[in-house]
Amino acid sequence: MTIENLKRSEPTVPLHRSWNFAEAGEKTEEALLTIDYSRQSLATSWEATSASIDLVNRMLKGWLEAPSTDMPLIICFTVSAGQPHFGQLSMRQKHDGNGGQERRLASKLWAAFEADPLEDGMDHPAEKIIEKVLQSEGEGILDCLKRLCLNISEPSFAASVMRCLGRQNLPGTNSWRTELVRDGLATKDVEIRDAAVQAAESWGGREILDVLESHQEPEQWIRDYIRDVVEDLRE
Amino acid sequence: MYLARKITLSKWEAQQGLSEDEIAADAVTADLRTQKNSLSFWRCCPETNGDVEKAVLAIASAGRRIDKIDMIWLDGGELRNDDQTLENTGAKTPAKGVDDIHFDVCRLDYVRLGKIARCVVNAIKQKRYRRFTRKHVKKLLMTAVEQDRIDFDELDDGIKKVLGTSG
Repeated sequence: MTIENLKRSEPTVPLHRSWNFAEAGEKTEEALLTIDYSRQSLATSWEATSASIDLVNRMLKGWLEAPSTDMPLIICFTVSAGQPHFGQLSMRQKHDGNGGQERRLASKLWAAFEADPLEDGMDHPAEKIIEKVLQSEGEGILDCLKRLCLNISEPSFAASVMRCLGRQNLPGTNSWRTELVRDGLATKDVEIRDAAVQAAESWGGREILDVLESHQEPEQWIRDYIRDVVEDLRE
Repeated sequence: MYLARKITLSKWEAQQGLSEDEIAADAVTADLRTQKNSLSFWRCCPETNGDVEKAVLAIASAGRRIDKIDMIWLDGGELRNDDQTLENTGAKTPAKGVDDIHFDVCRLDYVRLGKIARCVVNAIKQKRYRRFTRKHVKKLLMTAVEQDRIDFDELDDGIKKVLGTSG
């Protein structure tokens, strides 16, 4: 479905219909136009609540932060009292080539975390999945893992991936790990930031220590944790 | 009296679209997973030096790897007011001498589990929690091994490896 088709179909929103805003293979620029359009339409035509708009914006941000993928964005609506209401929003990845690898990895990790929440002090099957791809796919998989760790639209999933990655024995290069921790700390999500500090605690290193020391953390309890980890890493 | 339990603090702090007084279901399903309609707790007196650490030791030594641990302690009076049923039950941990401090909150149903979740939220609001770093947990375990406060053979190989004592 094209943007124009979507626009024309607006007044007659059928029940439980979902739209595929960006078909696989579309260029990122086109997707960007779609996003701008859909955001506008949600705000004006469909009178979405501010919470819904915030949710859309957060998910769109996560979508845009994965530029090497061509993920269709699926937005579902239901109709109540003759008016379309924002109901559910989800993101589905559709990849070819290297993207297929990321989709498969994400699917496996999703399944693992859905079956069993990650718990401190306990092994988790997702660790083995990550260990295996790190061994078999080499450096090529690092970008995929980084995107999954920083996917702000799925923060609990992203944090779980980050924590499992933190349990690996020094994946990637020192600068890659440092950058991942820095980028994780820069996100707005508290779970991802916490997971980034846990990874930092596990990996250590001078550069990571510098990142922790220079980070301005808004949450008191994470600030306390960073202070303790910095002390531990200095010893 | 307080009752301590391991949680994942970030799950209770992350609201993800919920209002401040709502409790994230992700936190409940991750941290309050019951077995036989019971939840495991460790009696402690946080003001007493080393009491929370004793609970951490009991939990960490029963694990398979060493990680940071978030401990929270719930007000025993608050639990009693909620008509929760507490039973002193045997501790399943290599830590020695902790049987008397292990309690199960049992006969939990959907409503009473929700009340526990509310108690956890209250405890976080009142700062009745503490995060032990990975290094701190490791230190507690090593000291306990040295002082024979842990049944070493019962430790998981993953823990023994990190402690540098493969047995």
